[in-house]
Amino acid sequence: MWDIGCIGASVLFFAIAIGYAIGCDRLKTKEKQG
Amino acid sequence: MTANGWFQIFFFFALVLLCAKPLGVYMARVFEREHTWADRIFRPVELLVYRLTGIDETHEMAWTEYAVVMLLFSLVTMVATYAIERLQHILPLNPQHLAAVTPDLAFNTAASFTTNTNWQSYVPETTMSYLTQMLTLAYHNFFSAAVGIALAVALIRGISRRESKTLGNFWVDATRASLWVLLPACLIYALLLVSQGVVQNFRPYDQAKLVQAQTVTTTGTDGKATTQTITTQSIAQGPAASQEAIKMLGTNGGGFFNANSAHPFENPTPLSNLMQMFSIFVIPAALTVTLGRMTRTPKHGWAVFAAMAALFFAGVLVAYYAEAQPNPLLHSVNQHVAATQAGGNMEGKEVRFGIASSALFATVTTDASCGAVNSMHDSFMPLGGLVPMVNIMLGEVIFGGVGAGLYGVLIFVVLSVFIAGLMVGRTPEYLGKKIESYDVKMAMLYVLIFPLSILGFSAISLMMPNLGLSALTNTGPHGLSEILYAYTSATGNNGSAFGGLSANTHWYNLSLAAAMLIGRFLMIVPMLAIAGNLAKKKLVPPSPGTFPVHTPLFTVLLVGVILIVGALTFFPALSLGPILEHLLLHAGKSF
Repeated sequence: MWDIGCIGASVLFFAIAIGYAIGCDRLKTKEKQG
Repeated sequence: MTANGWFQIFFFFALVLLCAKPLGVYMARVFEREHTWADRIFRPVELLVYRLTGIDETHEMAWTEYAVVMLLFSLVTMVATYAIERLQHILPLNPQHLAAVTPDLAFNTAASFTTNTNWQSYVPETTMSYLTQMLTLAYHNFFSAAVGIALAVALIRGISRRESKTLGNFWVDATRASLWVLLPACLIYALLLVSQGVVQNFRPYDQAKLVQAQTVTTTGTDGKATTQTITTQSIAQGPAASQEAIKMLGTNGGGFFNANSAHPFENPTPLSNLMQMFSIFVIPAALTVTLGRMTRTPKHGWAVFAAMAALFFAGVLVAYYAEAQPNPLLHSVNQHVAATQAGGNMEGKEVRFGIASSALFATVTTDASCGAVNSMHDSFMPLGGLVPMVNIMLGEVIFGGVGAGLYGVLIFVVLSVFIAGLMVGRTPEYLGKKIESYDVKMAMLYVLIFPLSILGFSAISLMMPNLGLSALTNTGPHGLSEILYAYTSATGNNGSAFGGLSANTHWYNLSLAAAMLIGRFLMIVPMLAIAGNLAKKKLVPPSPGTFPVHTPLFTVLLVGVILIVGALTFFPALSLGPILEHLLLHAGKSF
């Protein structure tokens, strides 16, 4: 159970980080349009 | 303080200064793919790596692709590390038959080594098999450092390129950082360490018969006291020198043995101690030269170097002064320097290193996100312990981690030129690139995530007696310092421990792992966003309103911005920790 939780947490963190990178990129696009 | 102590400090820094330029120029040539002496050896290996892994070395990446590839690479290696730790009991190279690492500790350690932190909530010689140490931990020591260098190079390219959508290729940068820089340096360095007495073998641990038997009383979990007579001692062995080399050069800091660089098999002599401090600083210092060369503004690289040097000397002066002073609680004892005593505070320090080398090592290791220790920071005087903490809190930009220090300080450069632009009422520019609102927003994101993690996790730990406070061995301001230092070290990806905190608990293992991941990856993303945005910009010719970034005025402004941001963020917490402890110590109270 712990193993699934730890691996799941790692995957979740990096998914958030990738989403965060995409968000930072979108902010630039939004600023350009604004 | 003694003349001998200051000589050691200046001699160390002179060595770093001497080697910064040739190494910096060499790294610039490596990353600009110019010819180097090492091409004949490493180019065929590099091509083989690309052929085996299917990497197209001509492919250029936008910042988002660079970031996503780096994140996925880190995820895969982190999960693999976790799996090996959990399975080490059934894997080879485990002569001590060590058990599988517990899940929360394995998660903490995987996050720690993936993020170049090397925080260790465990005793290596009784927890990690030789295979785990070599295959996962030493591997991360190489690649987390190579990733740091690659990221710094990507940011430099962002500054130097004009109207470009790309920053280079992550795989190529990381491979070249490993093959051209880290690997050859580590091969030579490991042999030098062996020459000083650092062990390198695969033997089971030696058993030594004690000259005098020891009686030890331990209290079990049921509260019952048990008395044992100890007649033998296990002396740990292992492939330490090879791990030690990359531990220092990659500013990783995770010790092969629990005592880290205070262990006589890991750091046996004053010469090995000097080599270790030098190897922590040399690549980060050289990267400022790489910055100057790749941006065609060598003076700017030296101006950044000067700012780092000024902050380094300020830190080492305070640490050395604080440690060399007599302890006010021992006023009736002669604590002056003499032929038979070092004077000052020798608690937690190795006699073979003394006060100057211990204070210098503590300053260097926390300036540079290394985290190796040759003395116990918890035993420093309050102001001596304040210095390592402040060094990390400033963002580890005083030379900093390999790559991480340079990209960290360049964020402060962006903020400095922005502030200078505001002061003269002109659009801020940095090396011909206009700094716009998006760059400043990303820079502020980078700067704010750091204290959010440190202060947030510290506050939660302090509010929870059962989870946070129960792991403390000291009360009052010293206890606060122990918790604050742990989260500062984790978020700053430093990895050194203040001590006094039993961190191998579910709460600390998981929350410190989260702090390490946040402090590494959530800060890299906005940094790469700035790099990508700068690369796209046109070059504007310098005007009378352009703030020159190669002058002493720039250096002073950069130092000022770093100090003001750090002080505004962390002074309240520091005033309740080491500063209050210093004042209470002089009032006769200790914790």
